[in-house]
Amino acid sequence: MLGKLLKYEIKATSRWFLPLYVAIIFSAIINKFLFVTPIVNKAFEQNNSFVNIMQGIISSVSMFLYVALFFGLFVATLIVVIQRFYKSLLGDEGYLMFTIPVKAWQNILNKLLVSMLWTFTSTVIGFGSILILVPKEELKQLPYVVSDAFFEINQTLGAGGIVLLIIFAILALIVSVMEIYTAISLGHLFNKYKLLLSFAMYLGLQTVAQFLALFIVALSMKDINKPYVTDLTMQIGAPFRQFFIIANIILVLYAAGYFFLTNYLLEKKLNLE
Amino acid sequence: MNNILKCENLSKYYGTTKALDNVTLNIPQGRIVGLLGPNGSGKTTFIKICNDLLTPTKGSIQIGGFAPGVETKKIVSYLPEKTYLNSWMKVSEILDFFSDFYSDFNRDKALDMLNRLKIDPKSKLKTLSKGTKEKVQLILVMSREAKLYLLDEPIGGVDPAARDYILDTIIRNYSENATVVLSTHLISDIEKILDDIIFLKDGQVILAKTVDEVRDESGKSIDSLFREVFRC
Repeated sequence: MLGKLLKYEIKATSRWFLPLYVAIIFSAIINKFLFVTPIVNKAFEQNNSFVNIMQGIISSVSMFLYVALFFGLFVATLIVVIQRFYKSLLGDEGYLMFTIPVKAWQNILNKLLVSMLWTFTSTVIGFGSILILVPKEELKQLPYVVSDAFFEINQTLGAGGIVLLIIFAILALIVSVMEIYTAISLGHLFNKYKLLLSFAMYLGLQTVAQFLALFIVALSMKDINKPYVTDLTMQIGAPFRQFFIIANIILVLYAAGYFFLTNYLLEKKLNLE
Repeated sequence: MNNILKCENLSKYYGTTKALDNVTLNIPQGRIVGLLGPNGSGKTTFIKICNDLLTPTKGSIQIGGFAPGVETKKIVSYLPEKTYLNSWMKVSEILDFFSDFYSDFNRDKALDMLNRLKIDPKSKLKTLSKGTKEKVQLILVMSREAKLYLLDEPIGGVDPAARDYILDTIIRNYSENATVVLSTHLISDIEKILDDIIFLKDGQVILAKTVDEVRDESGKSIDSLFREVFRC
């Protein structure tokens, strides 16, 4: 059943993202031609002020469009994460989604996985569009920059440090999305001002979660400054490594907590208008 | 006779308001049941609990031997008072959705009914009028070969001419041995198709009888009995 849910969810959301992806890639290509290619540069060099001005206007406008699309991509991702949960589960469409023979957790997992999918592809497309804009000569440097970064990370975090970071990023994404879902489900417990209260719930959850996480990290790393830890025989990255391990554990607990709370609210406290 | 729906002391409180108050009912198979009562009498609350959309405060309910959940959703076909259709699908795509999620959905039956009502399966749900959307929804619900149909105000929003068509659709399409529960306050329109009636008032069942019993005992039509019981 989860597979079928995923199929419809991807279908419902792709009609927002695919056109946006096409638009941003297209816009990046146009900008590349306006800025980078020699034909355009020649036009700039000509001592023709009208051409210069027109070129200036066109390239500014197109650059502005690209930047707007770039940020729009991430705003759209956030809006879709919120709207697909709020509208399709807790709005009128919820009457259908909660009366098909699937469990509440499958509905939640479906939304979570598809939100993660689009966040990932939006990030890839967003940075991919930057790569289109980067001049060729500098693009050649990219593999070196990346391998340097990997080297640095492993140096700082110890062997497999990059894995630790990737797990951290995935968990952070899950927690961010689940935090939104939990806040919306909590806000839905009220009869009025549901969206406003969802937002207030989000601020509340965020504050408590951050405070608690910082507290646990500080507590568990208080030994770090003791002499035996800073012993030169130990890896210089030990504190960073320890930090990410603790952070990952905290994130797993948060993700599980938010998931169970959301599931409980949708199963036992559901009250569609 | 087997009961498709059994509930005992079913109650739902919102704070101090009792939306449903100690409802004990047995609804047998193969009946058309009118769930009747004025606005706010608990009809929708009852139907929502049957569909696992609300959790009862106390009491128990079983449909086909199961508490509301995945197993009951497979055998209950529910028409809410709301339009739950999204705006981006085509009619044919929502048929796909129903085929995918309900193993008892009869697609040919749905296409046939759409055809008779001259609704193009290729049209987008967004472009349909409110009345047409309601018809599509009723077709979807009645094209399932379910054991229990729970129809919340199926004729509330449509004109009298469409009402006859809808009632006709309901009678002609519910499977044998299945039970149809209809909630409404428009009694005279549905009186002729009912086998049983349940009167709800302030969350309580005040009368549950067969239509024949009511006629024999009081000599009144359901409509006039309703007016008498619920006189303001």
